[in-house]
Amino acid sequence: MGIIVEGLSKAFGSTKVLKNISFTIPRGETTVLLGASGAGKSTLLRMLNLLETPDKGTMSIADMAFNFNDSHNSRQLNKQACALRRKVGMVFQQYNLWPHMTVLGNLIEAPVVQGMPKEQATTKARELLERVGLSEKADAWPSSLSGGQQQRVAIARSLMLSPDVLLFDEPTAALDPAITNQVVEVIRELSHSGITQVVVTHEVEFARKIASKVIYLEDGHIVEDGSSDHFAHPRTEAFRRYLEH
Amino acid sequence: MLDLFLNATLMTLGLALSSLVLGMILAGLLALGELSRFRLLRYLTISWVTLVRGLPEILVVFFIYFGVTHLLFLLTDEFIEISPFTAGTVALSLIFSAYASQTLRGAFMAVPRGQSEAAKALGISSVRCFYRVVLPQAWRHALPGLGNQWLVLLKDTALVALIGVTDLLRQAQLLSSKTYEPFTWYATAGAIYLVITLISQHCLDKMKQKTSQHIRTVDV
Repeated sequence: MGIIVEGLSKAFGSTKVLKNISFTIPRGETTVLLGASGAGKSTLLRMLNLLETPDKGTMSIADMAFNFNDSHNSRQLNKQACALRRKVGMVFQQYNLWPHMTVLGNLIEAPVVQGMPKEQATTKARELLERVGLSEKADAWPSSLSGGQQQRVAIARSLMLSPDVLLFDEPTAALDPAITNQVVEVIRELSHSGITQVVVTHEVEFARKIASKVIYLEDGHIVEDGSSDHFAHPRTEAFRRYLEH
Repeated sequence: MLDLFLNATLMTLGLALSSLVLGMILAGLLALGELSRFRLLRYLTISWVTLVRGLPEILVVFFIYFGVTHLLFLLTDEFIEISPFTAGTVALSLIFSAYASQTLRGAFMAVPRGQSEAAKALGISSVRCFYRVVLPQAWRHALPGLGNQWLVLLKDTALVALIGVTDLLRQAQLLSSKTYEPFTWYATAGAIYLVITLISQHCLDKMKQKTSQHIRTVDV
C-alpha cells in the first residue's frame, strides 16, 4: 500500500493553499509534484509527514491512517506524527545537516536515540555513505562538503531509519545543474529498491529524469495526475503550457 | 598583607562564579520565557527583564540586601538576617541574568528553523532536539556576548563592597585607610582584576575555538 490522500485542505489565515486534494500513489513509485511557486506543492509534501497539519481530509501513508475531519487532540496527533516520521523520511532544499556534528554523527543521531545500538548504527551509516558515494567523508564536517555532497549526506541520513516513503522538498533548487545529476542518480538507484518517493520540484528537466508518475498543481488544485508519459503527451492545456517554459 | 589580598581575591572570585552559575540558570529560564508560546509568561518575563535592566546595579544590590530584610521583617515580624555574601550573589545573578537572557534569546533565534525541522522529520522529540541540535549551535552564537557579560559581572562584584563583603575593592580600601598608601593598594587590586580578566579571556578564546571547530577554516 502506498499513499492515499482524500479531500485534503489547508488554509493559512484567509489564504487557501490547498483545496480538496485527492490522489493515490502506489508503493514503489517515484512521484514528482510539479507546479509554479505558490501552487501549494511544498505544503502538500510537508503534510505527508505532518510538518503541517491539514484542516480537513483523510490520509493513509506508510500503513498509518489519519482523519482530520474530526476535531483531534493535538497531543495525540503529535505522538502519532512522531511515529509516522520514523517511517516517512524527508530531504530538504537547504539540506539542514547539523553543522556541529560530523557526517557520521548526523547519520547515527536519530537511530541511536530510537534505540539502535551505536555499533549497528555506525555500520549501517557506513553502508549508506558508500551507497551515495561518500564513504571517505564519514568523519568530515558538513561545512567541508560541496552542496551536492551535503544533499547526498542528507539523503543517507533520512535513509538511516529505513523509511517506507521518502519525501524530497526541492532537493536540487540550491544546486547547480551539473551537480543535480548526482541527486538524480541517487533517486534512480533508490527507486529500484522499492521505496516510495515523492519529489517536489519546479525543474522540469530534473522531473523528467526521475519521475514514474507526475502530479501537476496549480493554485491549490491538482490539474494533471498520471504516469510519466504525461510529459510527452500532456492531457491538459495548462500542463502543456507549463512544460513549454 | 598578602594573605589578606588572597582571601579578598577568593571572595571576589567566589562571588563572581556563584553569581555566574545562578545567573546562567536564570538567564536560560528568562530566555525560554521570552520565547514561550504563552503570552502571559512572555509579558511577565519581558517586564521583569525591563525592570532589572532599567535599575542601577547598586540599587538592585541595596534592594536585595536591605529591602528583602525589611520585607521579611514586615511579613514575619522577626528579624531575619541575610548574609551580605548571599544577598550579593542573588543581586549580581539577577543583574547578570537580565542581560545574559537577551544574548541567549538572540542566540536561540540565530539557529535556523530548518535545523530543528530536520530533527522533527526524523522523529526526534523536541526536548532531545533542543539540547542536541539547538543548544550547541546557540552556544556558539552566545559565547562572545556571554564572555562580555562575565567580565562586566566580575567588576560588578566591587559593588558588593558597599554592603560589607570583604572583596578586593573593600580590602584595598581598608588597607589604604590604615596605611595611608592608597595608590599601592588600589593599584594592587586593579592588577588582580586585570589578571583575572586576562585568564578569563584566554579561557574564552579556548572555548570559542572548541565551539567553532566545525567551521571550515582556510589555511594560507
